[in-house]
Amino acid sequence: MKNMKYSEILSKNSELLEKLIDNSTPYKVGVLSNIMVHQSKDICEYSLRKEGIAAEVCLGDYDNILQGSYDLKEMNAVVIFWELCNLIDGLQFKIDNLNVEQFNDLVEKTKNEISITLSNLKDIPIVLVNKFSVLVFEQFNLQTTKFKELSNILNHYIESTCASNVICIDIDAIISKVSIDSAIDLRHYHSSKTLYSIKFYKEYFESIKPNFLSLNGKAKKAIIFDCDNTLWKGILGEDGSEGIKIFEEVQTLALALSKKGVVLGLCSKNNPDDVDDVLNNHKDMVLRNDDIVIKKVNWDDKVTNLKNIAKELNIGLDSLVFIDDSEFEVGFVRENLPMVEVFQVPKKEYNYSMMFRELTSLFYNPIHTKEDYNKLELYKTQIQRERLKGQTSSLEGYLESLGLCIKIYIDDVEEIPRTAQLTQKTNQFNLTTKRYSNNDIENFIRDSNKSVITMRVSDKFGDNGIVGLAIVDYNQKIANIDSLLMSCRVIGRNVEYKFMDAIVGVLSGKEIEIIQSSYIKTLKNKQVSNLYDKFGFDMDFKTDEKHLYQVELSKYNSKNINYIEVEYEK
Amino acid sequence: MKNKIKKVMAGVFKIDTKSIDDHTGIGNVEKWDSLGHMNLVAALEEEFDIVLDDEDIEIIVTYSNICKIVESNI
Repeated sequence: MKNMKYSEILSKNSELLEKLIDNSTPYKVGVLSNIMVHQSKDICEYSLRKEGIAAEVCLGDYDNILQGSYDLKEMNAVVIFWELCNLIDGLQFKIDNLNVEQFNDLVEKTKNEISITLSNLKDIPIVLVNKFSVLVFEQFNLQTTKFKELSNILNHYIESTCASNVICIDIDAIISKVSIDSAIDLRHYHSSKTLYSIKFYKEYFESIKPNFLSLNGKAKKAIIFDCDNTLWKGILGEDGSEGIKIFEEVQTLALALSKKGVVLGLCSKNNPDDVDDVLNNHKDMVLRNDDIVIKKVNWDDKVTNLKNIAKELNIGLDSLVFIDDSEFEVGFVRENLPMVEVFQVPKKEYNYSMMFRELTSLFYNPIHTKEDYNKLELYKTQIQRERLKGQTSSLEGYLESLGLCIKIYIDDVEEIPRTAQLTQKTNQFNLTTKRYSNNDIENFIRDSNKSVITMRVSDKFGDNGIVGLAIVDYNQKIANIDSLLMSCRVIGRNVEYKFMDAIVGVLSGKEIEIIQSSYIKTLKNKQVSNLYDKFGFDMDFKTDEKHLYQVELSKYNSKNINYIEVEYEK
Repeated sequence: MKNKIKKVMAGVFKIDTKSIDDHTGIGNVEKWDSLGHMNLVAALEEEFDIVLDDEDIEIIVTYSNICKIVESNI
């Protein structure tokens, strides 16, 4: 987007809207500000629409942040531009003439406005607030000025009091990236209170985009490397193990990503034994065999290999990032698998690390849970299971050999972040695909008319962590399953049947007579379109987009799967 | 250059390039209000890598004037 002209963004943005409007629910972003930011609308929308998010930006009125915060309760996200210079008109030059009392009044008034605004927005899944900045008007001073002091006080106040749905954006870093002179256009500041340039808005919305991607289940999950001239400089088959030079910085950054739960893989045309030898024995390698979850080192074409990688990891191709040095391979993959994010190693070696640092934002995940740290092990055991599947002939026999155990938790406060994360990240095995924030889940747990039921799955290869979730609403004797989802790690093991048995078990303890449920179609959840039919629920209503079901609790038939053990917590 | 100007106007005001002629101006384009005018200035400056001064900004209220002012600034 940074290389696109503003007028081009404006026309492409309208085109994308027409494409997206039919098959996606709008993702509403409210923008509140005390300056004019109308040019942010199309740029923000375009940055998200091109990622398949049907963004609709709703601009608040000029200098109406607090008032506007009352009207934005329906938004999926809110961005706030709160500029120091317009707390009072001309504050940047008037501030030195304020006496102590006036200064303190201004601090208290602004703190109060911040507090009311953020409290009004407490149920919005994510609120991005720019930190107060003096950079536009004061770039360097030997002493701390009053203006700087004010910005420090207010930033400290926001950071120390804000709730978990608020993210403070370091706007100075974004201004620096485009340079102060290019970020600011003061020509119209006095007449119409615009401050930022088009160039700034492009950089700004690209920088904050990872927050939206992650909440929309669009963060990347795996990074797949070619080997020669990608993990190391040189060609292993020609230069030999001694002749290659390890890209230490990129490998170290990749290792750090894998510790946060990003899957690392190889897709390289090489002799597998040679590559294994480097992974095991090369003295300079940072990445070792254990860090690489999946390897396709062979002479097949890379499109086939990447497809197999996605299949074996059980993730979508659009969750993959692929890096290769060859123009041919990069072009071939881009052409055939446009959903894979492909990067070419820059010709100048010193640009490679910087490119890699930038692409790490694609994996941005605001919440880290225990499951993320264990993910590497989880994916490895997933591959072991796939292999065992090949050895045992019947699926039932295989499942019996796994030693499966599920543990059910009801309204478990400790797992709120993981529970919210499951709603945000699960796409395939997700019946209604409703995304919820930590706040939402906490409210559901407190609500006596709702139950949040989570499931932990383990087998003899290891513990998969919390991987299943059902959110149920009660209305007298009727229970409605608002959300039912399972992480794709545990698909294909029939645990969903045991989970449904457990949900019904919970409901029968609450004197429920009827269970209602629904399936809402998305681009990714086709595999569960008939799940409730399989559970034996009666279909009440069916369109292409939505199915509604109902079953009398007394008539629910368990599949009586005896090879999965069930435990209840609490 | 004229085609580029039409493209910019089409993008900013969400109109068809074919509908733009010498008479197209602030009075007969729906989205050409004060905010639209600021978007137009930003888009033209970026497209042609020029900086328009206040007088230019006041004058460029028709397609024909835009062509004249852009040409004199390049």
